[in-house]
Amino acid sequence: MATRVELGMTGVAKKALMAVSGIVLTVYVVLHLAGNLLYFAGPAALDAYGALLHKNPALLWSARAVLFASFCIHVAAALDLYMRKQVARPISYGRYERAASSLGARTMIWTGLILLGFVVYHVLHLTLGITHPAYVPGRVYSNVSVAFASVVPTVIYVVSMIALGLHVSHGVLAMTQSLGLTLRRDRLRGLRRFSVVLALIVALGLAAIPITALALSFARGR
Amino acid sequence: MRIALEVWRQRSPEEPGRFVRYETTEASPDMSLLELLDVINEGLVSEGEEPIAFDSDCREGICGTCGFMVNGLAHGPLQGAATCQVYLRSFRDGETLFLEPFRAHAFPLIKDLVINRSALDRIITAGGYVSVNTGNAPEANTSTIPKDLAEQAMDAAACIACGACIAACPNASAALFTGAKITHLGKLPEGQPERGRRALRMVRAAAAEGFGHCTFAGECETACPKSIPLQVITQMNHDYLAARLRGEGRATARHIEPGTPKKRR
Ligand code: HEM
Ligand code: SF4
Ligand code: FES
Repeated sequence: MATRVELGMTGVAKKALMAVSGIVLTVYVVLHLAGNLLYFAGPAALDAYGALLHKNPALLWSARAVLFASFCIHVAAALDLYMRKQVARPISYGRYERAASSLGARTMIWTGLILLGFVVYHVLHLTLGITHPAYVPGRVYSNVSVAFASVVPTVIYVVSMIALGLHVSHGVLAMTQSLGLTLRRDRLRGLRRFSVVLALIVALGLAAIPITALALSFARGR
Repeated sequence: MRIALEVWRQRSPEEPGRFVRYETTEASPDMSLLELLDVINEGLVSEGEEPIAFDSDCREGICGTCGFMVNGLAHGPLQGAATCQVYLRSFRDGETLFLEPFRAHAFPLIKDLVINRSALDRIITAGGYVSVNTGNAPEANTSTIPKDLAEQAMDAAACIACGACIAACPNASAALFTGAKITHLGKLPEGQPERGRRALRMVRAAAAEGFGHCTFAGECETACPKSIPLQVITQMNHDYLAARLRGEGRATARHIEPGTPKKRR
């Protein structure tokens, strides 16, 4: 019995992998937010920031490699664990109520799948410019302004950032317990609040950019 | 008081089950839900029908024998109460109650609302013990226990192995139960020598039984009749991961056959 499990990984070990990859992704999201807020400082600041990132290709590509690896581990573990759910309860309840789960906790796999789709779209859109109407490498500010001059991309981004907020609101809390970090009850309460506040900052901050760009383009009178 | 019950009836694991409706006007608000089932069963027996099978023993929330889903909630609508402590005053007159067995792959159904929970016993067997010397009892003050640790161990030790945490969990995870056992023993001085091994073995045993993983949704904590706190899960993850990182149980001796030459010639 025990030997069979020893070969594979227990759910606890898999959740630890999810947590570590989740931390990498969350830290990235926070840094990405900090950088992107330069949008509000105007074209010069944002373009200079973009140029700075591309100055050291080795650093850029190692960061991208770590992010890509974390993303793959995170998604693979998420899908694997989600499949196991059905195995652990093959016959579902006729009636089942959730009394305690937060909205974020209930929707993790769905907000996660939205983020998966979003990340692919986002890379094609603003990193590679393939799905962008008039992409010019290096002209970050104008790329953003042109991209969000139409409604559809703006809506996609805003919906995805709502998903990101929900995901982070539960993810940051869950990850600390997956790693065995919050052993005191009073800290748990503080952490719950911290997760929600961080999620709000990230979601509102990142969604503000496409919304502002769309508003500006309307104001200019298309 | 009028109460209607939709009870899961299933004669055996092989036969398909279904909800069967029972209506009664004999209910009183002071009656417990299990007493209402007793009354309905008397009626069924007198009509020559098979009574509803359900487990119970102490009927005061201390043994962990009872337990089924009431309206989709493990042990019914109240926190800190087992199914046997649910009274009809918690429901509205004319309400319909859905009674369904705890469902998990590791909890095979036996009959109606009765399930086999021996998977929990096997998790305990895997590591829920401490090794102590036999012989004279040690002097009571040889090992002192800080008050906080004693409280946490005692809180965790309140688990009555009812299985509600698993039943309430969206992933059918036994994390709260396993964490309670690991915390109960791992917080005490007597539990230290086996602490890492205990966490590894019990977590692996839970996985081998087919219980799911924890997503920290918090349903178990709310369902638990003993209000075991979620931190026991964090403690379990902590002890498990620490033991894995330490390489617990993998220490190997350096074995050299005496007389082996120091330099290869
Ligand atoms: C920007 C992208 C993402 C960030 C910042 C992020 C962050 C996190 C964090 C911090 C956790 C907590 C880990 C834990 O429970 O120990 C988590 C859990 C999870 N993530 Fe993500 N994630 C992202 C993308 C994704 C994607 C693309 C999926 C797709 C399938 C996904 C699915 C999940 C699931 C199912 C969980 C487990 C939920 C639970 O345990 O309740 N995530 N995520
Ligand atoms: S932790 Fe609570 S709900 Fe789970 S088996 Fe123990 S007493 Fe029952
Ligand atoms: S019958 Fe003993 S706890 Fe309910």
